[in-house]
Amino acid sequence: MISRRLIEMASGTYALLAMQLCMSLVLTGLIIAQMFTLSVIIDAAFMQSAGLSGLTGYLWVLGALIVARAVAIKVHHSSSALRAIRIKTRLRQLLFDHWTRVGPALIQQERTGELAATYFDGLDKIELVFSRYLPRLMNVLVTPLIIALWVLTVDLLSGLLLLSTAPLIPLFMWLIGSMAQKRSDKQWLALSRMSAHFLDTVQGMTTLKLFGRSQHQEKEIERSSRRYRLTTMAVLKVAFLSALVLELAASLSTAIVAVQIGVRLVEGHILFQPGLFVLLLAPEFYLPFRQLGAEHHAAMEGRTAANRYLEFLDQPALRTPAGRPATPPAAPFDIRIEGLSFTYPNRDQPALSDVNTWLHAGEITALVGSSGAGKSTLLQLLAGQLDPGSGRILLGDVPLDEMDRQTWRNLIAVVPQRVTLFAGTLRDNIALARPDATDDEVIAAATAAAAHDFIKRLPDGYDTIAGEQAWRLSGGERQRIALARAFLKDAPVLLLDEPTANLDPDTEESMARAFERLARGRLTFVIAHRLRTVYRAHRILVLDKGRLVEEGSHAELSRQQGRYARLIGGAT
Amino acid sequence: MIAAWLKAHKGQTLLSVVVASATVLAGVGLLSSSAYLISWAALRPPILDLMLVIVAVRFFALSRATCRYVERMLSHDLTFRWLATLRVQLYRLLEPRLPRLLLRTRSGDLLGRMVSDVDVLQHMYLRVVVPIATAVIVATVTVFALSTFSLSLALVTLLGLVLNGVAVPIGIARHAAQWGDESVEARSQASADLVEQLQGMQDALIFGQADRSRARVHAQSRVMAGLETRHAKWTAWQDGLSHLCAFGTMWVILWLAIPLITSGALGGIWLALLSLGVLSSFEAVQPLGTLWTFRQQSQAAQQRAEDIESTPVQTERMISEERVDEVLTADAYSIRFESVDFAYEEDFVLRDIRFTWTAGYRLALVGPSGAGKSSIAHLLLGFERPIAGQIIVNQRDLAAWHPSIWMQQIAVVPQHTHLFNNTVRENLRLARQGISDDECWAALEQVQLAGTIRALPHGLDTWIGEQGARLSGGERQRLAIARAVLKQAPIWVLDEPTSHLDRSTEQALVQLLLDVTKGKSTLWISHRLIGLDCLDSILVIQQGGICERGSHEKLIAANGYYARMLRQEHQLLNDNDSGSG
Repeated sequence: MISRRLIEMASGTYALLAMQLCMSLVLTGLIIAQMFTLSVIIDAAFMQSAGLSGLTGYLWVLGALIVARAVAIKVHHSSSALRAIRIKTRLRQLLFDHWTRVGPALIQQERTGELAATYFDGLDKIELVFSRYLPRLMNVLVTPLIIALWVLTVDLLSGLLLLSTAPLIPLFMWLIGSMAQKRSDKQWLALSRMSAHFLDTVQGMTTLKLFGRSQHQEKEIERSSRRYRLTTMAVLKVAFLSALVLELAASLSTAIVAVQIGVRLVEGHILFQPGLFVLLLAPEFYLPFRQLGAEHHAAMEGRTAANRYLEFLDQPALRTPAGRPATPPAAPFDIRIEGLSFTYPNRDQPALSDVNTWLHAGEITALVGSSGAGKSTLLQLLAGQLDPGSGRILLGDVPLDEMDRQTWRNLIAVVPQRVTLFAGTLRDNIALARPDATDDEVIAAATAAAAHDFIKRLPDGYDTIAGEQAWRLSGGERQRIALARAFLKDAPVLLLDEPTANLDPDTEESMARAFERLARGRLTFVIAHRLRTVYRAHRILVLDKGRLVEEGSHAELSRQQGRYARLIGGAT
Repeated sequence: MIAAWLKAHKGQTLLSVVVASATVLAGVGLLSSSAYLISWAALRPPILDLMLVIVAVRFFALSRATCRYVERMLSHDLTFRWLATLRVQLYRLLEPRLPRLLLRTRSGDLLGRMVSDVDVLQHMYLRVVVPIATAVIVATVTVFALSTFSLSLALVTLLGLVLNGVAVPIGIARHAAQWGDESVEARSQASADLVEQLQGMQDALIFGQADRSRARVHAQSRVMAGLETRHAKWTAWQDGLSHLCAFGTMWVILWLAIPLITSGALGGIWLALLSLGVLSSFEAVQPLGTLWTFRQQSQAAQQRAEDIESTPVQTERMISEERVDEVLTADAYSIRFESVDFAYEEDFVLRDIRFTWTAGYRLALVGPSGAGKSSIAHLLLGFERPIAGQIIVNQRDLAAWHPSIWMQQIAVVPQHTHLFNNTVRENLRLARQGISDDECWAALEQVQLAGTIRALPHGLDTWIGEQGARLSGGERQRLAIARAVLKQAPIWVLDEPTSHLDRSTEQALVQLLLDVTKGKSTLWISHRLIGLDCLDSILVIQQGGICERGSHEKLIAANGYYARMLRQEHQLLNDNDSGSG
């Protein structure tokens, strides 16, 4: 039911698992002792007319057994819960660590909401499997068997009766496991479809309103809910049958045990005390099955969640160098790109194919191309956030994939389109690369990035808390914080994705100047969206559908009347 | 709310509760009659005397399983009915408050959360109504039956049932609540953190913060685990204490009953029946344990609903129906903003906006994002009201219009149009009642989408997927425009209809929009200037005020902000895409 792989990943908590097995055994022992004592007391009071004084000892033993069983149940539950929480926490850590190894370029192909849902809700559902479903599964394997064997020693016929209903139980499990499974899946699907439809309607409510149809939709919700109720009930009618089979097996065989004991008592073939003892044990024989049946939904949800979890864990991580990591060349160095290709997982079309070029130290190289040409992919490959499908990137003579990734990350600064501000002050956010930077250094970086003026105007200045309130910072302001970060990091390589959005003309001007200051003396690679940037660039690369189609200076490319000329055609 | 609903479904509710109680009582009956059977049999009566009890044992065994089945069917059916009611209720709650609610809370997932609240509350019937009613009925029957033996036995059992059904769950919930609340809080903190770390992963890696960010996320998850562990340690008592209550009660019954047997007040034959009967009656109160966890969950949901209820409803206007007709006789509208101020909460978004918009004119509204352009559209649509000044439509204050009638006059193409997960036809027919297929095709033809739709496997009957997933961004917007065309409204409002499309798609769509709005009163909001030179007049808005106005040529000549924006836009390459690509 639940993936074997996930259970293997949960190993290392065998001590707790052993504890659970022990608890199952102890609980079964307590059940037998408890019921035995109870039958002895009733037998003595009823058949032997013993008074309270003669039974005090037995009654106190029974009392002690009741308390012991209550405590054992508690320990059983809390040990399962603790084990499950521990497993969940470890699986969460594994997941996040894996995400950092897969890297942001691939992770961000998924919606963040989806990632968070797997990390939180998905793992909560997996926890329920470990805290409730699996412990009860273990009870089913241990308790009924021991009780049935015990009953055999007390009364052969009743024991055989209980055991003969045993084939019914695998049948029931099979019913749940295969046939009813399909039904349940269908029921699940119907339910989730109904939810999705409702969500769709609620999300589209503003649109409905614009067309004056929002009130009409109320009846539609009622209608579709009724439709789904009828179809789901038709499915449930069958799905509940498996529970009916189990219930019938349990109550009918309790009845049969009672009746056959009654008949043999009349005939004098059995005594009252063992007869009552067996009758008391009969419901306990079936109890674990019923408890397991109640966790069916938890198991279903857990299975779905586990599959999703494992899908995430199966995303390949970024490669690490096989041998001892190579040392990077001393700056300044050139970057050579040889036969570079890349295809995103689950896509047919390569995002980049066979790109060969140079990026020179101290120069600005601008990358242009239409939407979907592979510009961001090339930047991510250079930043070491993606592994090339084939080909390689060389720093001087050192291949990038033979270097430690963090060593390379230390050599670059990246200014992305969408800048994240972390919870903390603006000062902390600028000093991200060098938390030990002095205030003067932070201010100098902010000034160079044209960010100092607007930060100073904020009520709390550099102590303004980013994160929660960060939405108040405009896109242009965030970009300038990112530039300040890069100034402070002072790395030899600068990778920059120029904002596509229109900025305020004054902001645009000051940012362009900040960029030119930042690029000075570094190897700069910029995805350009502005004419000014390509004019300033020493070399321009033109990408089209993942292929490098033209390269050269603005003057050279303009003369060619090719792809580049068309790209800048509208911008004259 | 559920009380009224229960009243409306009295018959079925009553039946389902009776059957649920019968299920538990059949269980009590099965064990009691079995105990009685073997007790009597131990006295070795003639076997024929036992026949009646044997029949009873079999009857209880069969009816228990059957009742359980019937009860599940009935209660699930009721749950689905209740779910339908909840959905309609939520819809009624949200409908008059949208889109204002979304604009104010800035929380896109609010609707999603409300929908999952419904998923929690749908269990109200199965987890609250049925358990409580069953517990009360079974307890009453059991205690009454016991009182025919002895009052003290009945009272002890009642005490045990109350202890198990009420005191234990409340006690546990009280102790666990603190950890539960804290872990919910830790979780929302952790969730905000995780999202931040995932979105900022590139920055964290490049700037050497990977270890710090991992440490942070893992520390959060350990804090959560710690709190959850404490919570679990308390809730683990539930089943143990339930067992203690049930068997403890039986144990006390033994202490009380044995002297009664000795004194002859009670026949010894009843002892086994009493013990087993009392034990099995506790099955009725044990489901009450989950009641309190459910209460905690549903309280959060209820709280959210109350928060939403406190958001003011879009007010219905005070105009009488006759006067609506009078106003509606116009085929064209001239609109005037007179010194309009507008603020969200305390923050002024617009100050002193004045302009006149002649019927049939096409007006552009441009400016950087966040300047207040969309707020003007929301004011015009009546989603929001000015805090000062007036909007005059054909010599009448807009506040006097009935919102749904005013809405019929306007076709809107927003940045993101919601397309429903339904067929192309159903999405188009939203525009107006009784639209024929011919009209649909004509509109699709006009927006140059007819070819695409014809190529789909089922034409107009093709399901377009969640949010129109089977269509491209440009196709989705074309479908939205077709829907707006079908509305045949005299006023058009275009709220950045092309802003998330790439350049070439944008150019084609701009041309299309210029064609379909020809001769219609149009308000075209944009932060890009492409195509606007064809419009009658341009308003440039900056930081909540109009800073320039006039025709394209006039604004170029003035060489102000508009001219600078235009120059800057010409500086952009042709490759504009919406984001990371």
